[in-house]
Amino acid sequence: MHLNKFKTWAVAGACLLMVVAGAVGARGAIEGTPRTGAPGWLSLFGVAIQPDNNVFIVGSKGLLLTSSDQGKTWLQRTIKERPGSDLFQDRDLYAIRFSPAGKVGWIVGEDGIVMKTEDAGATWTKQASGTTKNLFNLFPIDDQQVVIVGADGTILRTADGGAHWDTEKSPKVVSLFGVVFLDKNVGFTVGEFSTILATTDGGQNWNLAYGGNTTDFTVGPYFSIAFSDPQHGIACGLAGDLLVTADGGKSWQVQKLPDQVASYIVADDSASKKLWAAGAGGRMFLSAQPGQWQSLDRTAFHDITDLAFVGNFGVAVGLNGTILLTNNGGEQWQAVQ
Amino acid sequence: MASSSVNFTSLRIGDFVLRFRAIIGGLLLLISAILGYYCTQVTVATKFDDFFPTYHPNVQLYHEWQKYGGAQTLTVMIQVKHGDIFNHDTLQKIQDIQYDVDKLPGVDHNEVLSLASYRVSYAEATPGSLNIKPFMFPNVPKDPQDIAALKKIVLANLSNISQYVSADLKSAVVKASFNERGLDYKTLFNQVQDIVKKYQDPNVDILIAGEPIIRGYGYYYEPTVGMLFLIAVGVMILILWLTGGQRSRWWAPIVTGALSAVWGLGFVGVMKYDFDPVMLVIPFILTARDMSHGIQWQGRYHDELDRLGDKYAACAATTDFMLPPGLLSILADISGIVFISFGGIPVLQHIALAGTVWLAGSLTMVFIFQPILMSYLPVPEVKHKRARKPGALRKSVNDGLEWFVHVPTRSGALRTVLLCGAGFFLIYGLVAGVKSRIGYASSGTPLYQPNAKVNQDIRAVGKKFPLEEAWVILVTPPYPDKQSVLGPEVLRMVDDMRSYLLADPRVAQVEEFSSTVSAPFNEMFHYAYPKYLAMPDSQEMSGNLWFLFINGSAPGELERYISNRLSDDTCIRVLLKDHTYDTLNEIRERIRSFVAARVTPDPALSQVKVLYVAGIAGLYLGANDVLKQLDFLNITFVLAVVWMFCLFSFRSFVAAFMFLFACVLANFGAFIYMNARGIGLTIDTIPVISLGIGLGVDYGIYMIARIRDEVMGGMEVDEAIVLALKTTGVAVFNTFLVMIGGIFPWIFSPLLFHSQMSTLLIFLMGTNMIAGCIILPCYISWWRPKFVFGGASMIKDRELKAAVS
Repeated sequence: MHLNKFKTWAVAGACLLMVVAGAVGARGAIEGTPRTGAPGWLSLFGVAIQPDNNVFIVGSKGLLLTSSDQGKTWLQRTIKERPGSDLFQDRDLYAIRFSPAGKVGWIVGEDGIVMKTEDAGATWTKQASGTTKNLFNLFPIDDQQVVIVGADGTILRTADGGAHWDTEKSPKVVSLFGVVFLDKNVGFTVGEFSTILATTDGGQNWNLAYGGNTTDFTVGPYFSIAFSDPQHGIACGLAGDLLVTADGGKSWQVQKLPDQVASYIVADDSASKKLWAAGAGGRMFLSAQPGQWQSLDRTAFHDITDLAFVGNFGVAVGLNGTILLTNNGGEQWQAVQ
Repeated sequence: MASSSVNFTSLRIGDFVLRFRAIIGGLLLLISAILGYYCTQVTVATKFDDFFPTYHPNVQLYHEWQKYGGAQTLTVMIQVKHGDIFNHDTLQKIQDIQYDVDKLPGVDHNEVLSLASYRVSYAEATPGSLNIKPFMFPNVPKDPQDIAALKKIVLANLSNISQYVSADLKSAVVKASFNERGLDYKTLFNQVQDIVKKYQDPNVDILIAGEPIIRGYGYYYEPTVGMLFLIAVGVMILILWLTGGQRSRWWAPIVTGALSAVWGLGFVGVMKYDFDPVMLVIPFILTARDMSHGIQWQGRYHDELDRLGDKYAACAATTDFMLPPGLLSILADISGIVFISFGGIPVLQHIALAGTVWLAGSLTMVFIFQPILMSYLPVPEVKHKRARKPGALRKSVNDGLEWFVHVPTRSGALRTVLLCGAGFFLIYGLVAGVKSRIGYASSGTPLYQPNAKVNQDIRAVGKKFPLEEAWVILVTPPYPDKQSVLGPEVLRMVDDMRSYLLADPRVAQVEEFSSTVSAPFNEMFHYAYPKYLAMPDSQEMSGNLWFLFINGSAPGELERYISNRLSDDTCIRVLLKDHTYDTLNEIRERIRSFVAARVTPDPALSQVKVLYVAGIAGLYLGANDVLKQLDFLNITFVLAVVWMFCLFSFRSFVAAFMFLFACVLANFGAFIYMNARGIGLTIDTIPVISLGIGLGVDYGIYMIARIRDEVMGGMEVDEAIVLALKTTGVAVFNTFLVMIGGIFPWIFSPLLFHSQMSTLLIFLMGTNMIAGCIILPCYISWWRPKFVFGGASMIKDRELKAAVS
């Protein structure tokens, strides 16, 4: 009788423990401070959307914002890339990208920071990048192969998920701001002095595809590059400068946006086959037809630094905590206050 | 018959004074005449510096780093009712107001800033160049296209100029700093009002905020305050006539009270202190107090005259009787004000010293000069009124008063309730005292009514623009040392501090070289690419950006952040939404936490000294710190003095503690009132509160001294209490009425400070009168302490006096 009673209590206790542990574990998945938006004094530099519409934004001072309800609510986290007290602020994080499957992802940032997640962004671990240069952007080809570009011609490549990062030689010592791959082998990176570098072996070797005249200081940089299909690509830069290719990057032609303002990001919306460019002063441009750009009404007035789309859902981020959301493929953008 | 409470009555001071009345009277009048001359030398002015504790580190820090601007900042907000500011008329107004503000007296011409200022600029990157342009200088755009272009530029840079243009684009401000010494608030106020009148129109409101305008409003209300002063004096005289007018010399206390005021005001002139019109209520209370001593003296003189029938004997006897308790009362009054000088706040030191002379003046003018005056004047005649048969109402009143004077001597429920109630009130007061707030409890200024124009303006401006600045100063080795203010690690730390402080909702903005200059210039230098909106990564790059900035900005612009070309100090301006006690303390605590966690342990910052808090917020904090200590010190000293003098005077520990408890009971009620009304201890309120504590204890001293005199004269205790209530109690009540009558009109002052302080003083006077005239007699009748009823020393005294007589 007493033994049975003991067993009942033991089972009930074990169940309770499991419930508590489950709750703690679930809470431990993604922890942070709930917010309705980003702090206005911090800059947002990168955004990524997982296939299940979870949004990840990175920014200055180690900021990581996540939303699992399409931007209605946010959790603010600080990615601690080094030991120190809570008051010890961290370095800026410049870009975040997930591999196509959405589970594995990387964050790059100031002073050679590389951080990786293998659990869809719940936890992040620091990786030894072997450099202290600022790393501006990255492109995960798959869960194992990733290419990172950064300041002063920095190109990092891994083929084992980041266990080892190799430094690849850039034909030009210029800062590189954007990188894209069309498949496992063919990729492009853009940077200072209108430089476009190309690779055909997954990023091991790079060749100058355009620009790169480092003695001409009147030539502006290109900040971002995107392809809407294997043939059609576009790079954006200062003062409305565009560089387009219709032959898979063999040749490039100069174009201009309707307004002569800088664009820091160009992105393709694979669902509607539209191209977007965004940049200085919150300006956004849409290209529904190749070579035809239209200027959109401004929803924000701070610089936009990154754009991401999954289906009709899109997120744009920028300086001073700017977050813009669209649920209808960019027809309307709404600022998160 | 009755003898006085202390031994030195045997010196026969009254006889001495009357024997040499011509010499003593002449000397006192001569001194009064000289001080009267100095009264005419008093200047009505306000010195901002005098309001803050000289020796507080924040105040010293503020003065040491005043090159970063003054704390006296004026904010003129231009607000449109319809549309936004981006139309030619409004933009032109901004520029015109900028120019007009630049012409104000005492303005620092390098610190007049607005959208129209040449110093408020933005940077623009184009391939191969970096341009720094002012937003709206020298010309205001006229064409709609140009205005639209300006609007876009402002919107793109709004976060950098949020202190000049509001987020809703409906308001813009012109900010100006002033040189503090010799600032003429009255002229400044009038000229600012001229600006308001000139530029206000049906669509544009001009709202003003800032310390100069707060002080300036004191002068604006000067005529009303002067009128209230005259009304208050009139009411006092009327009450004095009503209560003492049956005697022909009822006006004598006015003469001696006024002469005491001449001594006090003359001392202000001798010391060359400035007379702040806002503080007018304090000298008024002091004068009322002087006059109330005169009333007490005159009341006793009439009693002695009736008893002795001879004016000289009555003058001498009254002097002998009244000098000891009078001296004790004046010392208690003085103790209430003198200790506020301990905080090192110049304005409180001036009030303490001048107040001491003002109150001490009544010692000579009331207790020495008044008997001399009365000895020269004819015997005060009693104006016999027509004998009337008392009516029913009068009979009821008389019956009520007769019942009242017997309350303390009647054992029973009422006396028990009174004594227990006093105990509860004492405990409640102590709790309220512990909980009393320091500093400002809300935004705006507590000097004026919440709905006053100045407070409405401050609230409206404060909703859109930060009004208070707390400065953090960094002192470092000079450039090119890695730890100079241009060192990347130092810049990064400052940027971290900014980020950390901005996370607090009380902080509206943080302006410093790192995020305001270095990071944006680093970005602009790198094609305006946002990912370069960060600290430069090398010492050389940082130096280059600094050079770029000083070459591209207006003269003096760098000095707003870094005071010299050595680059060995910098100012971090933390802009706050208000200056409440909680906000200021929390911000200081956050800075302290940051320094302890981020700066101190970092070897890369080992030579960086972080000094905080300077700026206007530092001054307020300094005052709050001092007031917190001063409040405790002041109350402790006042109570200690009351305890000590009562011990000396009554030669009884019981008496000393009895007065101590009475003092606490009556005066800690002030904290109950202050907590209920949300009034904090500030530089403005502490002298009044402190004064109230000292003033009220007199009532108890006069009452108990009279009871004791009568008991020593052989009267039964309960009879002595009833007699004391009927004689001294009436004089105390008359004094109370005169004081209340004088204070009451101030309730209607446009200055909230006057209104609140007068209510507080009425409350304090009331609790002190209840404690002195009811609670203490109740206690004496119930407990029958030895100091009244005859300890060994008293019996000896009584025997000695009997032998002498």
